[in-house]
Amino acid sequence: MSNHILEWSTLKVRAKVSTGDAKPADFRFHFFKDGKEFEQMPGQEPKGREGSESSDKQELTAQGWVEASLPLPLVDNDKDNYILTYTVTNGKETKSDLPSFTVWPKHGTLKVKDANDPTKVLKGFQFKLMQGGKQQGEIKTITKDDGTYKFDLQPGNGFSIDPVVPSRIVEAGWEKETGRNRICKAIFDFEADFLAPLKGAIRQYVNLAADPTTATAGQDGKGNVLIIKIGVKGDSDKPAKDKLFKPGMVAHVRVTFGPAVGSGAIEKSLRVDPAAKTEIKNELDLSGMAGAGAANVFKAKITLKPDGTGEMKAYLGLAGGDVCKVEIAGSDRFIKENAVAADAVLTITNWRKLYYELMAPDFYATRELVSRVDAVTKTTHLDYPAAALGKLKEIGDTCFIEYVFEAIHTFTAANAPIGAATMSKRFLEMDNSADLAYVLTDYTMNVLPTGAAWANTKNGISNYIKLCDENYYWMDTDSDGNANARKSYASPAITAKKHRIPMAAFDGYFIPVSGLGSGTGAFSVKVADPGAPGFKWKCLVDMDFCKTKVEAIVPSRTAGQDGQHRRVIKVKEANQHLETEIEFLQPKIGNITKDVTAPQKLALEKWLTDRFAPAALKQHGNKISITIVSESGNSRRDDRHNAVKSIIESKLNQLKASHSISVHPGLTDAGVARSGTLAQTCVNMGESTRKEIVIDLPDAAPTDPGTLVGVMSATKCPVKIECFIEAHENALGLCEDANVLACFSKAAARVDVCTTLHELGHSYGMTVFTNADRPPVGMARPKTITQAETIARYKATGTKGNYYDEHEHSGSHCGFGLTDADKTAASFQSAAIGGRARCIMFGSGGVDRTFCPLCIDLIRGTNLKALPVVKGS
Amino acid sequence: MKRFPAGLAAGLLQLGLLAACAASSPGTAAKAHKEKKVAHEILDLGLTDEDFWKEPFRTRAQIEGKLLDAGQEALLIDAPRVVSLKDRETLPVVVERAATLDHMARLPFRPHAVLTAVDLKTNTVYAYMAIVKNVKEPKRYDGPPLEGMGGEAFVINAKKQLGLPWTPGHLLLSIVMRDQISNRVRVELKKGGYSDPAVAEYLDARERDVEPPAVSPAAAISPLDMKGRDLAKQPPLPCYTRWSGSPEIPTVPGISLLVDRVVPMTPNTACVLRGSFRLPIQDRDKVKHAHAQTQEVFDRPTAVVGITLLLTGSDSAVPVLVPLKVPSYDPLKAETAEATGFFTVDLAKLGNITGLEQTYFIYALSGETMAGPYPMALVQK
Repeated sequence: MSNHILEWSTLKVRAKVSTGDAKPADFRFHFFKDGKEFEQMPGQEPKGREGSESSDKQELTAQGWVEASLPLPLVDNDKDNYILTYTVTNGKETKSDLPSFTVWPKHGTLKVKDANDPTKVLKGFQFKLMQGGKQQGEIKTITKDDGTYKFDLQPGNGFSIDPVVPSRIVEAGWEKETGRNRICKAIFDFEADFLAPLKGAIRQYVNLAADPTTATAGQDGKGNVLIIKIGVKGDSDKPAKDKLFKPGMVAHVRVTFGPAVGSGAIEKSLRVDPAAKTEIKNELDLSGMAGAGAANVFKAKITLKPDGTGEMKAYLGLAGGDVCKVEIAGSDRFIKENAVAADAVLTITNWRKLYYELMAPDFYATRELVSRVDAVTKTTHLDYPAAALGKLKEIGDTCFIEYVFEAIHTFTAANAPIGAATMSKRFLEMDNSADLAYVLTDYTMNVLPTGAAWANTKNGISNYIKLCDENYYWMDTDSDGNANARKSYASPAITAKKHRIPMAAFDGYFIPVSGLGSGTGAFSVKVADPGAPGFKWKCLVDMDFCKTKVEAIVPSRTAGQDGQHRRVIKVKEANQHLETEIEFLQPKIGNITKDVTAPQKLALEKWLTDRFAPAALKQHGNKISITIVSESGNSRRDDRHNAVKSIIESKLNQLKASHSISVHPGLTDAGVARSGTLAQTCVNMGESTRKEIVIDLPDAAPTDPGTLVGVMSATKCPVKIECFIEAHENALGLCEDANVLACFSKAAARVDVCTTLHELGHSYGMTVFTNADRPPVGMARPKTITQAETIARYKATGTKGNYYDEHEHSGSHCGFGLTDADKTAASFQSAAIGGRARCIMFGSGGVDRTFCPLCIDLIRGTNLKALPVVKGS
Repeated sequence: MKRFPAGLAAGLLQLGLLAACAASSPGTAAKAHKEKKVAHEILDLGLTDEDFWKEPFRTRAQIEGKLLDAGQEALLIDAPRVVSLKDRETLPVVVERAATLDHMARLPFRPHAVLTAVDLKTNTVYAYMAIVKNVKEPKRYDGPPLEGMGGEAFVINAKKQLGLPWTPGHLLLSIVMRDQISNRVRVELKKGGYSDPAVAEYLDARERDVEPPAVSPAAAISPLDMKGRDLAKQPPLPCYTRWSGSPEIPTVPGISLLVDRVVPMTPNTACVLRGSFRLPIQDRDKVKHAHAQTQEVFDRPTAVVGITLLLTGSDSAVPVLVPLKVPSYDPLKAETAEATGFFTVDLAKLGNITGLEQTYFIYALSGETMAGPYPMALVQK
């Protein structure tokens, strides 16, 4: 059995002479350290105990004891202890069966280096000194600048160092783990936690404006730079004295930008944006960054500041759906060992928040929208019905876009833009009701209702959506250099007050107010191209039908009396009630003359000519009815009559040819066919439809076309109408910059909201086809329908890409879902092909679709910080 | 700005078969010729070249007014005589149409008008819908006859619509609507600026050395293999030699076509088009190898002539172009610079046309020569 003693002790050993006599000097004590003799000492007389030395000495001496007193040498620094043995010799006799001693160090030291920087020491390191399974003394703390701590030891056991959390000796951290003076590398091990944002999964709206230089950048969920603040778990709830934090504490961090490529599911966007990388940097409290490599994994350390927190910046890029996974721990074991988890994980998914404002007349809004309680403001407002919101969310989720209601603006029909709220559903053939429909055009797209305005509270990230029942437009020119003249119409001869102009001939629809984007909202029917609004009308008067009528000459003969010296023939015009006389006198010799003299003839012809004066004719029925009143009874009387009649007949025939006029209500006083312009008010909106213009010819005045129109007669005549019509086309929606015009009905909410989504897609830069189009920065130009597609998930069927233009659609679109055979067709505007199309960005709509994987990738990769998206940004 | 139309509401087309009825259609061709005659009465819209860009409808009212007052129908086009490539970015084609309302309703311009252009230098044919608009398609009129007259006018940027190469050359433009053809107008595309005669001479010389393109589509049977065959039987197609079904070679420059008037739609529908031609050729069409004129080597062509078939449908008018590079095995006559020959092809294989039951109007274009229309109806059996 060994005895335990401390170094530096004085060891007194004795030997007893059991037989015979001997002097103490005859004895020699030999001392061995771990079996190696290191000291010899002669025996000495025993010394008495202190205070009773003489009696003891005497007693011991009497009993034959000798002794030696040895100051114990130190334990070697590199040893835990040594075994002290001794022997006693007396002459040739050696006594070795003597007790042994284990000599232990009296003091020990610990030097602790900072494992993160071994050139430094780790002040504050705390430990328990353990011996024999028991703690020796209080918890010890290294406070000296040289990082050492000297402690006393008890004999009997070796010692060990038991770090006190958060102090921890790192793995393989012992530089010297034996002997009295020990050296180790340690850290302040702790459980790290996220202070802001808190651990877990969060959405970061990377398109929202935020100042990346603020102390809390991004912590409100806005912006693509996020300052992440960490600390020691639990410290925030503890008083200062209890905090685990120690100056110099370092947290380990691993940042992974994903999702991983090759998973077949959502992958990290292929957007490569030098101006908005996905990365972390050696800044703030982060240092020692390594990575990221192909796996997009960064590793680094965050040194906690004196306040116990540390910060780093994560640059999240701009692509929706990209994920930044931040793992932290006080230990780096989670980085080195797969089985070890980080202390806390923060997963940031990039989203984009886009707002929408709605605008619609109240009669439409209450019919097609629903009241909703705003989740944030708790106010009630009109919004899309649930089916539409569900579709918006469903589609938005696929592209990592969150659509947020911002405002709705309603107005009365009276305040609607001109012409937008004047047509019934029956007129538009929506149904047979007289309910008012709301119609928007390219013109009203850019005209605000009276008293209404966009809130613009989220300018740049809002879409401004005008909702309507129907969308019509007329375009005179387009950006490709094409021009479209107004259609001209020339009616047949109209004989009824009501006239119908069929629009079937004009490849378009009648919308009373012009839908021209650059127009003024004027009437869409013009008298010329270009020209004033209205229809031209003109009387079609048969001039022969209403020409001056010259009736047959009527003789009025009465028997004359003989013996007269003069005879008179009267010529009467019955309509004008005028008459003239030709007098025949008896010469001195012979009978009364029977010849009409030249002067008489001239006078008679002048009188007849006067009867053809236009004013006289118009006043008296445009008719000449001549009666010759003369005597009968003999041949001379007949001769006189016939002479007058001959003159009249000849002149009348002449005048009929030269002086006839046409007189008709359909002619002006100047004899010109009446004409004029019919205003928009002549359109019978109760009977008209988009396919037929019904005109009621006005008949208030005698010269109005409605008064005059009819089968040719003395008072009626056919009428002709001519005009130039802006034949409107029907569409579902329109997108101009951030402004969207969309047809929407509650009954088809899911399908109709796809129109809005299609237009929004265009405002996001879809679809990339022409050279002028550009994919998001760093992304490859998508394959067209004539190119082989190499990415499996971009193919619904077949081998070809999806993007196309034209094919009887306007602009570029996506043909996902079409077969390879479909893609060789000249036109995609067929029911069969449209039925197979699966992407919202297909060129025609009216179908419930979704964005295809390719379009999703491109929309995800698009910079949505400012609408409309700049191509290639 | 993007506009979003509705899709078509109609159901899927049902394909089926009908009994065959084969006949060519000289009557329809005559009708087309009649339409051309009307159109040719006014060949010039009275516009200056500058007008086409600045005031393209300047004379519309005058011309259209006369036509409407006279109740006369016309389909007229005009284009600038010369376009400087350096100064212009568009090739405006002005279209003016006057017709009865009934005709306009039953044959609307936008869904049926096909703009064509022949590059006379390369004998390349371009064709596409004259107007493409993304509209919710109105239902076609099928009601009682309509009274009255109507007119319409457009400017079409042929460069954009046809994707024309913006290089010097001469174009011959026209519009086809089913069996109606507008007048044809010639446009010269000029480089603009200085014109170096040495360059022109060099280009002409280079043209003379160009070998014609390969025969296309490749013949399924060679002239040698045709020797000894029963010429009453249809040879494997394509075939570029005469057999009993071939039309006679025109006596004057032109193209003759024969096609079954009605073709039943079957899983293996064949739309056999037989043609012959007498066409003026250019140096580039002549085969220049050593044996070209050797009678013994008569399976080698003496010239290869470009003939493009243009098909437009009665319901879906989107044109189908079938470019043929047809060999002539006949000796070339230096005095006439004409080539003659035959071709027989299966349009069903070349044109992807058997998906729709409709009547196709077939035209053949080569340089300044245009033949047709030849109607061919595909019917469900």
